[in-house]
Amino acid sequence: MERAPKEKIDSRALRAWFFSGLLWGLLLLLFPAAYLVLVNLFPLLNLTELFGWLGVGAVVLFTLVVAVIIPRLKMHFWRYEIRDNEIDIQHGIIIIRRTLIPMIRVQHVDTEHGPVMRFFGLATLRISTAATNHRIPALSRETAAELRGEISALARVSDEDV
Amino acid sequence: MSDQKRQHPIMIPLGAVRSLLYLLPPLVIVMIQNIGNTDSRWTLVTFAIFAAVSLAIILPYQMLNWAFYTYRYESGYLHIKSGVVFKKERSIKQERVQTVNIRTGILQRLLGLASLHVETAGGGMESELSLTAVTIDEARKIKETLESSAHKLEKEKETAETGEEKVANEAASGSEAETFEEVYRISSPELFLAGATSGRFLLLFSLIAAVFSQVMPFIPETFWENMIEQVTSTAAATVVLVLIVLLLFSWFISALAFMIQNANFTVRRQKESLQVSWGLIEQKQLTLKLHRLQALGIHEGVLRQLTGRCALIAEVAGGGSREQNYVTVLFPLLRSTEVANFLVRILPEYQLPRTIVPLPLRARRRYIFRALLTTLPVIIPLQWAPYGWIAFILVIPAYFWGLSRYNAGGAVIEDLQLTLRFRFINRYKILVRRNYIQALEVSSNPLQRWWNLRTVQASVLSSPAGKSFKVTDLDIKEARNLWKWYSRS
Repeated sequence: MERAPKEKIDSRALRAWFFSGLLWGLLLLLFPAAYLVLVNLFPLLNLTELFGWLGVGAVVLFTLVVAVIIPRLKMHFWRYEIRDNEIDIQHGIIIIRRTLIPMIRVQHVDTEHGPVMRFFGLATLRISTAATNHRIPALSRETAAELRGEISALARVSDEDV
Repeated sequence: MSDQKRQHPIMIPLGAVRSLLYLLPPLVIVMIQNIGNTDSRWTLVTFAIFAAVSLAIILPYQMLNWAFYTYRYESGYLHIKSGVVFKKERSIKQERVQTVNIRTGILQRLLGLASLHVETAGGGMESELSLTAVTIDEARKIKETLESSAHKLEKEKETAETGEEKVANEAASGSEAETFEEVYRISSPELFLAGATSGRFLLLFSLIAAVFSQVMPFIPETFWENMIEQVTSTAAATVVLVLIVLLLFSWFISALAFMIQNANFTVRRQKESLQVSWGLIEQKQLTLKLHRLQALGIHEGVLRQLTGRCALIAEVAGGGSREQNYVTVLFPLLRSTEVANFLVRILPEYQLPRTIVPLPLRARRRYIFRALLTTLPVIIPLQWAPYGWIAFILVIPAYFWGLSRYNAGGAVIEDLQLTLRFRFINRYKILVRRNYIQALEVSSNPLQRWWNLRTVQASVLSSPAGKSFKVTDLDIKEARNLWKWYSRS
């Protein structure tokens, strides 16, 4: 346990997360923007512009955190390692979680990708045991598919019953 | 056989009709509201528009769904791809399949179709997979490919076993020969004590109190006057007296109810299964195959811990929900000193550990601090109330609560068994064998990293879904030990 798992997630994840963070930011920006438009179209309502600009500032800050800072930290802390008989995952920024999943406990492995992830050629690997769900986010699609094949092949059923 | 296949296109209209049915309830409500409306033409028009719009949305959605849902089966696997925008791919290994069901409705039979449901172990949506419209032949083929290997595996399981498990199994079967048909039955005084300490009376008390408050106005006032004169002179004392009587009454009733429910509680050990039976009026019985037993819980409620008693609880995989509402009680009350004996006779697969490695001393202040923190949401708002400072008394029980939680925490490994001990209010000991832990997690927040402490969490399969057992603030060395013990490389 002293040594962290070897593999990091794909570096393209930074771009993908930046992009999806930006999309979220733009979406959220609609709210203060709508407010500002409202204020300027109907001056009679006696609303101050200030709240609108505060809203814009908050959204910009949020976008910065979600699109730039958090992805960097995630990149830095996400680690995994697939060994012949177990999967070792480490993640978390403040609370660091280290998870060990024996291959024989793996029930099924899925890969998943939304539109942004697909554009950047990335996919998320989901690993389920009979009791828990785990994921390794933003792997290159080839790696994810490979790992999926590898894990389902390694995940032999032993004589131990679940 | 290796190319991607789609389900029968009849799925599109069928799916559309099914989703339309979901829309019926709101529609019916709208209709009912409009019953008084004389302008029924208007209602009809809205109804038509509503139906058309929902169909215009549902139909293309169902078509896309159908087009993007493809499956493929080859030796060993069933692959499924789905999702229009968010893609999902899943490969299921034959060996993981628990059951394959083929169902045919009337409509499906007319069209020569069937739906195929594949269940894997574990609970929840993730474990189930279904193809809703495939030809009957196809369904049979898939069922055959998925089941044939499962049977093969059953046989393999009997012949091939890995080293360590074989030893364990032999040891178990050796003692089984002697303990075949071991019986453990609860005695009546113990049963009454079990009911008395079950803690259910609080629930019943609130119920009885509620009923009583409804009945009270009907009791003639003279009765109360007499009561007050005879017993005491002040009304406040009467209230207290009534409350105490009610409390005792509900306690007694709940204990009695518990006794009747759990009368003749008996556990029988047979070769590969446990038979649990209980009940006086309604006899209930539960047969528990041993391989479905995932973990054993020793549960000491506060009242029971004081009387040196505990209850045994089994964590069971799959299907338990129907037999006994989720919690499987293996034995309702047992002297804590008797547990080891019980295990030797009934469940030699599990052992009560002789010692448990306690939490390090530096974890104590963290436990106490956390307990004190929980009182803040009560204390702070009360500072605005008159005499609010009295709320600070809460600090005392909180301190002892934190302390007792710290004292309860601990873990130990003996051979292939992990024992975790922890308390929230009641104290639990969880005994779980290594093969039944689904995943192990070791986590730490910055303060824990500073103090070299770790939180360890073991996940176990238990119906309805999984369960996790957690011990906070273990010494890092102990956490590493657990990790090493669990790791297979």
